[in-house]
Amino acid sequence: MSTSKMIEVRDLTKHYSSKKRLGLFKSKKNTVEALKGVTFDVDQGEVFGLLGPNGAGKTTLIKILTTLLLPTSGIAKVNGYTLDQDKEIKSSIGAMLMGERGLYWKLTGQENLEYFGALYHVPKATRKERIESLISLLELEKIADRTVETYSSGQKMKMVFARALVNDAPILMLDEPTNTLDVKEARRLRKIVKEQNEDYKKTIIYCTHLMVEAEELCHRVGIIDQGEIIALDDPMDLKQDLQENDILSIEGTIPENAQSAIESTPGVLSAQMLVKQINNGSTETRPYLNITCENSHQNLPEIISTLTTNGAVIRNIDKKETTLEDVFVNITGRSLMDDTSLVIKAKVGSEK
Amino acid sequence: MYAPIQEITLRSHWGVIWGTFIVRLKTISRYKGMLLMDILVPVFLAAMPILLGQALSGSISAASSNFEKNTGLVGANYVAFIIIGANVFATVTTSLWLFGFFIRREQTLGTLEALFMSPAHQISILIGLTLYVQVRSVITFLGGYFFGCLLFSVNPIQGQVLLALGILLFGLIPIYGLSFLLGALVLKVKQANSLLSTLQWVVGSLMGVFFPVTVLPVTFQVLAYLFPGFWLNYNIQAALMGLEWFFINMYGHLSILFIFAITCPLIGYMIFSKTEYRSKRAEGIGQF
Repeated sequence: MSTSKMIEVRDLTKHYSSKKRLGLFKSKKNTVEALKGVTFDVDQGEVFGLLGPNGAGKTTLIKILTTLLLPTSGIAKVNGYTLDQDKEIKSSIGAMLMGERGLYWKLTGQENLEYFGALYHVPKATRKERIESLISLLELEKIADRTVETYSSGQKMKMVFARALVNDAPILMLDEPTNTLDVKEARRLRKIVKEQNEDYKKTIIYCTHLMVEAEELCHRVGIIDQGEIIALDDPMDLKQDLQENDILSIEGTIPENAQSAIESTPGVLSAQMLVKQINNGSTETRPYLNITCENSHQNLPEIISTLTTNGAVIRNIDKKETTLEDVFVNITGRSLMDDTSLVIKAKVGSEK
Repeated sequence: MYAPIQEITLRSHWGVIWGTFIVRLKTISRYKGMLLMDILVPVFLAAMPILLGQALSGSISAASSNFEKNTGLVGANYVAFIIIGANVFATVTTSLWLFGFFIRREQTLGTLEALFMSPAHQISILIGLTLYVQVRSVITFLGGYFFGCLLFSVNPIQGQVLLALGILLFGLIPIYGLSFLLGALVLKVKQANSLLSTLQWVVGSLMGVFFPVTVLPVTFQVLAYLFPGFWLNYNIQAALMGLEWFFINMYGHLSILFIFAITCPLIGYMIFSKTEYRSKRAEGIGQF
């Protein structure tokens, strides 16, 4: 392995056993393969995006790299240190892993930062100065002296982000850092992440299921699905491969026979029913037919004709710009939104 | 090419210890009345058997002479015996569950993973935590003891109070060692409340809180002698009430506590580290 890489991961696997409940006292042991031979490198000063639906293995991977979990097999190096050099690795990383959790509720935001600064062995004088600048950078002045229990979700999230920066580590690992933030705050946080990379040359691993974030911030992205990295490249290059074709998004009432008929229409390469969020931040979704075709100008009349003759009622047609979501759909045949909804449904089901 | 990282020094280790101590103090100070409740609980705990003894015998002095006659503890004031026992019991149980409850609380708060992600040595965090418990124990022990004595008209400054305090502080070290075992248990089974509630009364019996362990069957007496909580309680009772140092002399008793103070933390920490390693190999330490 080369030592110029800030993070090196080779054939990392993680298996753990879970119990499938079959009743009050019965259960069956299952082995969950959370990671299956993951390999990638992250260069110094790079923002590396880990993009994938919930449950894909992003957090497991980050937990291994922060030494919270041990891998079943494989090798990883962080800042040149192997996973058994956990003190050095922990000193190399500023991490934001568990969303808004991970703060002491009975302490103020400032007291939390002071304590975590001490835990990261930041000298007292430096700590004080750094905390003041973080509070100012993240505009936390109004809440820094209040106990965390009085914070909103977004305020907690920002404080956890400040906690990740308190040790001024060369590597930042951020797992869904904009969750629960409103649009304006999320944009501001992304700007700070960008500054941390550009101005302070920090190497960043940024986990997200939001393509916009990955496209805006990351120099390279690894798309992870079911424990495997299924694509890894510059976001532009990943999209470039798809840009030879056109992507159409058709909304309306589309019966199943229309969906199957469209797949055999000349010029149509693939078609999937997907869902999209209506507004950013809203949980409401709308189904749409995602069609990849050779040339939308030439193929559109035939597509409309096939759909309407099979009983579809079309309400809107958009020609889409290729996004990383399309890359994911093209590789897996599913959308990130679909997978996230499935995970939420499964969780709700198991809670019931 | 490695990026520079924060240097870990002896001073920064002290920063972790002090930081942990201060965080705990600030936290308890923000739960209004918690310290006061800590002081009152052992007094209520002691009040029940004291009043029962009085009700059965007719008076405190009659109850005291019955207690002396039936237990063989010559000169033992049963009110003082129970007040001391209840206070030591409250301190021991707080210390014994300390680490288990700490792990559980941090798991549910989400701070356990944040702590484990920091380069702070676990021992530094534990020292800070135990320092806080030591301070809290002394305050609650003295508060509960003096209040209980005044409430039941017992002279609180009889015997060797300073020696008793010294024994308390030193005797809690093996209890912290046992606390690691319970911490390991919580890390493994995630939920240990029902087990801890049951164990609480076993601990109380083996310590000889309301009665001397000599009234227990022989098997339980042997178990009591193997439990550092018994020696802690008995030694404090001996220092304050002038009970007999039955194992050679006072130094014999203190030596036993010393042996426990060395072995219990070592064994406890070893088992905890193994459990932590197993958790990291499985689904992780923060799951609950």
